[in-house]
Amino acid sequence: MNTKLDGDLKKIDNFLKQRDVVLQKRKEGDFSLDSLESVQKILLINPDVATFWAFIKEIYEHYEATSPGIEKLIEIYKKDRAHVEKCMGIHPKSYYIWYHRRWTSERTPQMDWKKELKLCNYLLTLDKRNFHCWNYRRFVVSQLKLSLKEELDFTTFKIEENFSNYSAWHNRSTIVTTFKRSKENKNVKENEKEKENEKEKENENENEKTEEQKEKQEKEEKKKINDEEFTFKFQEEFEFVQNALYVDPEDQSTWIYLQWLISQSSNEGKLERINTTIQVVEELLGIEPKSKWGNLTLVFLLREKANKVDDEDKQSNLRNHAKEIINKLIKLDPRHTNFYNDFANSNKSFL
Amino acid sequence: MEKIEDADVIILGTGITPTLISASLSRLKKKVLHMDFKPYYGSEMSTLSFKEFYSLFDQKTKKTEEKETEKEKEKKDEKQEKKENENVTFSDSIKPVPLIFEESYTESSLTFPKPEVRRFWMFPKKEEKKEKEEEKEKEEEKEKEEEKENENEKQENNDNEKEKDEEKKENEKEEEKEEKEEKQKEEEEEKIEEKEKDKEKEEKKKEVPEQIGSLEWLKCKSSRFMIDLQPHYIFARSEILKIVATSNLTHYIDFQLLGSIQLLHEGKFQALPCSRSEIFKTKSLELIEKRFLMKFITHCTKYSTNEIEDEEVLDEIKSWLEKPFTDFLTKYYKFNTKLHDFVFYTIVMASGKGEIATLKTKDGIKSVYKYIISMNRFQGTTPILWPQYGISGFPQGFSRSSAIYGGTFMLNSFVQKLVLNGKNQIEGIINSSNEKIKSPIVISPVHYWDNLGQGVVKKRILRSILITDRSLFPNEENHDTSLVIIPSMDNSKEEKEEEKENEESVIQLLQLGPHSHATPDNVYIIHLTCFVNKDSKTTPNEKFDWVIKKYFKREKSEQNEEKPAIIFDCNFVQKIYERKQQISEDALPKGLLLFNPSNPLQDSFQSSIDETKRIVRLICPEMIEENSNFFPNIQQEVYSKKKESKTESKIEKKFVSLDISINEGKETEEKKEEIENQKNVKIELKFIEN
Repeated sequence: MNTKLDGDLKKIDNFLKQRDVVLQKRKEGDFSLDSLESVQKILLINPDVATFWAFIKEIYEHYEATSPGIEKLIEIYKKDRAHVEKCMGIHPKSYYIWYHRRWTSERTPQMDWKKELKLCNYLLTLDKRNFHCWNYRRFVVSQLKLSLKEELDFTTFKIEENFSNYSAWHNRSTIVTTFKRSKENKNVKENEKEKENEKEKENENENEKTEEQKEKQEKEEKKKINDEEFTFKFQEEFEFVQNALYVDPEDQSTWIYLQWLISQSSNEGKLERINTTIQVVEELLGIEPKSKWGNLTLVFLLREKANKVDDEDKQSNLRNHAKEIINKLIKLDPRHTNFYNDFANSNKSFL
Repeated sequence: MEKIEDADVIILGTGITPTLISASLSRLKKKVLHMDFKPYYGSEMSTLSFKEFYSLFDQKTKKTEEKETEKEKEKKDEKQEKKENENVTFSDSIKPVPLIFEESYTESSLTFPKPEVRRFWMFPKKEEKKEKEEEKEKEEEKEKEEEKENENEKQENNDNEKEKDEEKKENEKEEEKEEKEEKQKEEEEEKIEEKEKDKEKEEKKKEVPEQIGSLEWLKCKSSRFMIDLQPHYIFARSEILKIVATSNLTHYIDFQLLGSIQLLHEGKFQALPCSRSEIFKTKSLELIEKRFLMKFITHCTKYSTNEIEDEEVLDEIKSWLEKPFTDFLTKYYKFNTKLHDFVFYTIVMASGKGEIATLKTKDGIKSVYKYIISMNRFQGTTPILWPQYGISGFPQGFSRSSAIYGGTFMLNSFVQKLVLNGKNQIEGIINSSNEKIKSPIVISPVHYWDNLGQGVVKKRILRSILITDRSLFPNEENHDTSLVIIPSMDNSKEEKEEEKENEESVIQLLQLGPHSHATPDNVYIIHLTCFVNKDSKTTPNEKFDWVIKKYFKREKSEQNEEKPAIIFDCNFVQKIYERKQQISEDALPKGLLLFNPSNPLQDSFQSSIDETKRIVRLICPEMIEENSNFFPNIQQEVYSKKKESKTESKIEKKFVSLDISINEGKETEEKKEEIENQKNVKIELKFIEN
């Protein structure tokens, strides 16, 4: 034990010394590349210190102010990316690393976003559930203007690998919301669009655009076309979820996604959707009567149904059914008695 | 080479069991002399080049002659034995050809397609062009046809335009093949030049024939073939792999996961998805089937690791343990016949209906657990690892391992006589070059001593090896190496009586393609294996004929393009020997230890490991403790770490897509858990070292 303690003390001592040096430099306003080196060095000991990352940003800002030319900028940010990747290996879930990555990516001239996407996808094979990485990936995808279809396919792939993955389901939910929003806006915007297009054509004639801008525009248009053709099929999605439920009814992420999906259903077919889902869940509960999340989701579905039904008798039937299930859950899972009671209390209007 | 005059132990045969014993004893600091009468390693589980394999059959006549002279020798030896009193020589019963092949095979079982059949499945380039031209002419003229072949082709063209397109594609493919072949020729020639062996050079240049698939072509490509006499299936989590990992054998053997395990069910090849992800993805199962299959798999794994929390479920499973597994599946998990058969044939790998009827639930659960943890180890779709370059990688690896620790190996040499003292105790041997080598212990496979009645034939293995021109699953690349289980006769009218007599009728069909490094490009080896009772008189031909007829084509008249055409095939029979449980002490000289040769079932060499432990404990009583290390790494530092990482990366490369430096040592706990399944030998090694 003592030897380990001694080793640790030495490490701490070493870290503190280096820290003092770096902080001193920052105080003195030494934003040279030498400082950069020493900050990067100490970050490899502990990358989870916001102050150091802030110092690095200041150094880059000063460096950019000297207008060193594109090539040198590309070079220095390339080095930075390599350094950040090392830090990610040490502490893949540090917020500051991922913030920093985004900050430098945005500043890098001629950023290779495709490579960045590959990196994200690779890191997601190592840890499928790192939400930092998923977040950053969404940012990269927005830069690349990937179509909704491509993104949906990626999450499908990730979920098929292992569907116990909140992050992947969440990513899927963002696609659903984007789709819904764009659909809602579609009608409103259609008229405006035509006008815009005419204007744009005029603009094109007037201003000669750089290639980069053109490329960007092309991508955007491509994405637009793809996304307009893309329709998110709720029916298929429910089947997809149902499949996951049957494979592992113990996995709560799927149940939560199912609940969310119900809440997103458009008003017209909602009642019908709720009814069929209730049927599916009850069928599954026939095989797995002890499924905690299945029972809880059933209560949720009954509540949603009650909201849609006007008939008071029917409502009270649903309420009684739900109460029964809650009581059953308390028996099944006595450790969470208070959770179920709280659930009932927070749904007083229904239960 | 230094002459060896004495050894602590002499081991005969180089199958998996003797080489395991050899590696273990060498590491335990015994002086080992290891002999095999053949020029190559592996004994009954050798992996041979085409020429070597072919010569087994070709030299048959010679061997029988040899045997006769052997018998004469034996008789002489016996006479000598009687004469000598003090220094008794025991009669030499070691046959230079221990019968891995039964004597009963005939020349006719080794067949080649007739020349016109060869021509049918691979067109030489020039003829192809001619034919095309002729086709064009006909389309323009539409006159009399000159050749029968062309007539056929034309009819086809008229019948179906699609077929025509396919043919064109075929032709293109074949052109590509031709090109590849040419490249290979060049490469091979270069290699030979490097070797600067003029003889071989001349021979090979002469031999490269234009027609692919001829005997000359096969002989020319000889070294590109890895033909296993006995296929074995190694589970990814098994003791043998632990030994391979801990005793640094990863330098010698590379593995790949078997692409798929399929069952011939209702006339179709179907794979059973077993991992959570595969079950989720598949469209071949109903939702209810998915639920019950998942429930069953989770219960089996959790029961085996004592993780079942629900006491009702636990009691239920416990009540089934001694009952038949088949009822457990159909009654408790409500499996339909499809799921039931899949579990028995592909997971439990039952040998036939007899095993299905008798297997107890507790043993069934064990098999399922082994299957699932093996499959999860590399997150593949199958639990079985296939050694690249053939199964004899194992005996060869263990032989090298033994040699590194001081073992001496002599191929092409055998024991002529055992030298005994007056107390019937072995003092040494006289080898094939008439040299006396002292050793108190001789370890030998039991079947070498057939005439002493110590071994019993336990089973016969019907074998057939085909070489074909395409995959059974041409549309699925990852089925390049595949195991197909064929439960029973397709049309059972002929063999009803036969089946009763010999219930274990499952045929295993193993396809090895170029990805397995066992064949040249575009050529496939098909192993057909069937275990029958020792008294069964079924021949391989009778057993496999319907499979071959149905899924392969031998004759030109068969126009079915989908079927792989057979370039070469042969049948033979192997025997599984087992030691008699009770041996009277007088029957054997003291110091002669007999072991069971490998048991070619899907037990991942477990029976060989058990035999090894038994034998080693007889010699080194200190190894009696259950957790003794039979393969200690004394010279571990000899190996550089670089080498280690190289071989491992070969296995791992499947999982690495980008070259990013990530410090593995400092991953968070969660991440470690995530990756753990992807990691393989590497993790295992670290874990054990720690």
